[in-house]
Amino acid sequence: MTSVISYTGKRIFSLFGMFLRHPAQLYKKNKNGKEHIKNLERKTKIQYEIPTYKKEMNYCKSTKKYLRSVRLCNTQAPAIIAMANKLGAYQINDQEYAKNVFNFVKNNIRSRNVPVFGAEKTLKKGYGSCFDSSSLFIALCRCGGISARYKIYLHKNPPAGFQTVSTVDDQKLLDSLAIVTSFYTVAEVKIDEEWIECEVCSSPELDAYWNVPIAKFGENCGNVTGWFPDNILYLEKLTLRVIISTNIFFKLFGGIVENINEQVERNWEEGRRKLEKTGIEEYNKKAKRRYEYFPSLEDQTR
Amino acid sequence: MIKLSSDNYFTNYGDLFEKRRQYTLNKYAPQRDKWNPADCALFSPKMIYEIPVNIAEELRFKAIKYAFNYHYQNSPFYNKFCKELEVKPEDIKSESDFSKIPLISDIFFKGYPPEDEKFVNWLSKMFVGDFPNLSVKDYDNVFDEVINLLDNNKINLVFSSGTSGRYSFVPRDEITWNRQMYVCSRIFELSPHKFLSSDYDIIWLGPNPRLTHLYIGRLTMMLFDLFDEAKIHFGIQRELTTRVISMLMGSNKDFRGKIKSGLIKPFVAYEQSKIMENIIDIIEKNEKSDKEIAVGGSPFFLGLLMTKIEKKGLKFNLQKGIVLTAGGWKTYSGFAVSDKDFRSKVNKIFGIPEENCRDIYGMVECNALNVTCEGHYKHVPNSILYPMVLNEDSEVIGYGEYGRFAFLDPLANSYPGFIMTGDRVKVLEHCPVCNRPGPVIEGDISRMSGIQDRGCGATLAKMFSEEITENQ
Repeated sequence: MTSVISYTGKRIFSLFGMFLRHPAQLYKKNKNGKEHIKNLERKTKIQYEIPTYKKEMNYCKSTKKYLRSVRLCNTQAPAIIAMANKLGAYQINDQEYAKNVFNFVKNNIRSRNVPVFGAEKTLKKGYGSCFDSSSLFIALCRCGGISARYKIYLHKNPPAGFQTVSTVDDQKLLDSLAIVTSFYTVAEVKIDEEWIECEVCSSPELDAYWNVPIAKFGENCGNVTGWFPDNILYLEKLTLRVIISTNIFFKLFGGIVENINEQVERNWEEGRRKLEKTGIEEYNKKAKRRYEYFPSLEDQTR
Repeated sequence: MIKLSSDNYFTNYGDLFEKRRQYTLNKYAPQRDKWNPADCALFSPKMIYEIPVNIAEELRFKAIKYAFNYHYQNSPFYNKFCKELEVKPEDIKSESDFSKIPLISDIFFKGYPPEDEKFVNWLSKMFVGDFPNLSVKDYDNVFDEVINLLDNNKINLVFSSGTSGRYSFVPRDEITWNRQMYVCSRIFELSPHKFLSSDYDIIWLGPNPRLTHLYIGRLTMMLFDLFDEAKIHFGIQRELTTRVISMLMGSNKDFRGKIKSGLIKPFVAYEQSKIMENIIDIIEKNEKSDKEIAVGGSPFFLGLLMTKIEKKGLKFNLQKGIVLTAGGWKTYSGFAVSDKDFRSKVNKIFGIPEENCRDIYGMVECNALNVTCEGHYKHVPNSILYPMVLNEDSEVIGYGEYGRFAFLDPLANSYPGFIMTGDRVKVLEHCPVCNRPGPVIEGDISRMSGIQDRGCGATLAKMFSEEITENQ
């Protein structure tokens, strides 16, 4: 995990530096952003129903690595078990079940830069960061008896076009905010002894906004748009260091980051309109013909 | 329109031209009875830059259809990509169907995984054909070790760029590399004088091809086929491995690498400065003894050489001299010049007429080279390359409009050569200046917005810019 710190460290200092230089401006932005978060909590409605938990529902009780319940990825929480059963755990084969989980998380969980909640809260709130969407996917897979893990792409530089996701106009602050792009988390699930990448964090609407293909189950997303990772980590659970530092960061600067979230919401809406107009299949074919996309040699699309 | 008589031009070269062609054919072409349509498109024409349009189109159609079918059948990742886009070889019935062929972004060749131990696996999946079993011992220097191991297996793993911090790696098997070398040997079809037959000294302001797999350097291997080795002088006489390039460009990941980079740069700059002095001596001697000279390299290095000559208060009068450039035009340290200004400076410093300045537009992913004529339009060898210009939605737009450059290259055997690039170009159906047949690319080539300058020329420029300019 040292590497996560080494990838984000410079930007953390830069962000604190900005805070020291322009305290009043940042305080105001942060405060306004936090108000927005409170309103959002009241307004947000989840788009799906979580079934009622019943004692007879099946779930995995294994203590094996990648199957067990871990911090922020509680595979034995009633809501997780209920949802896993609704999605077909122990009723259909592993691949079909994992695909159902993939589609459920990808299509229903909205992407927001927020403190790390963990799987259960994410399911209840209907939104979360890439850590949370992945946690939910992993928890549901493990609950259904399939090994799953985190895969974290580490980047030294933000992707081209990062500035377009924020309404922040200060270039230096924007550079500091790029800390949120230092890592990108996806999940991997083990089917037939093969680890398969599942990009559940970006919804189809956001993919459409960015003109990138909508990642399918097993499709490798690490290289889309030429934003090459500098390193990759595979984890069974998120470490305390990541959780604590991320949550402190959001406690202090969550309001500022909300600027990005607001823009992401607008992007989502634009993407939705685009998909409505062209249809997902047609959109995907077009997106795969764009310069920014290239076929990954790691793909295990099934 | 400049009158260009292909017959006269060809006759002037006479037997020697044909002799050289036969030599390269014997060296690089397979036996005639084993030619496939891609071989036919390349090896059957006498002059690859002067094929009548109807003949070129027929050769090219067969070659591209053959190549598409070959990669569809033999490249698992390309097959999957085609299936996703619902395109099959049977869909390609005429040239108008070429726009259906799925194109691979040039970024693909930079997409190697961050874990060094996965590099070989990545290459093997990209490679079309039998990839050898490689036992890598030094994962700290995996790129260079794999390059050497593949060399022993007759696979040229050439690389380019690194300006964005990542190399483009393109593996060329023996078939592809031989075709590439043959194309290289043909660029002199457009050269202004009896270049091949006369007593020219050749100065190439780039690395010795035997000491590098950097694409721009490796290509000049062809010079040894055509010219007396004693008359070829290279500007960079040190081994240019990926490790050395990373060091010189300061793109090493670790602290130790950065320190090494800081230490090595001044020495390299000093060495380069000495080589420049030596090159100026050669030019001076040649001028005094009335010998011809051809100077080639990236515009950046030629720019440096000219600045050095200017500072020394020297001027030459090399009326029959030739300047050949290859590599990016937008460089570093204030050397960004337009090709027009560059030619005018060449004329002022070397006394070489502007029409003798020729530029080659190529890229590591492409086996064809587009060479400028006397009117400075880049001629596409139209039996072996199908150029396309795309709009933002990757749809083909017609001649005369600016857009993204893409091409279908049937000569690529070890990787699918159906590529879209990050370059912004305009393609014309005919050359407005000379009467050679086939399409041309206008001189003004830039990068599409949001894409970093790249290419071997830019790499060399970035590597040497600060130190050399400081040592001027």
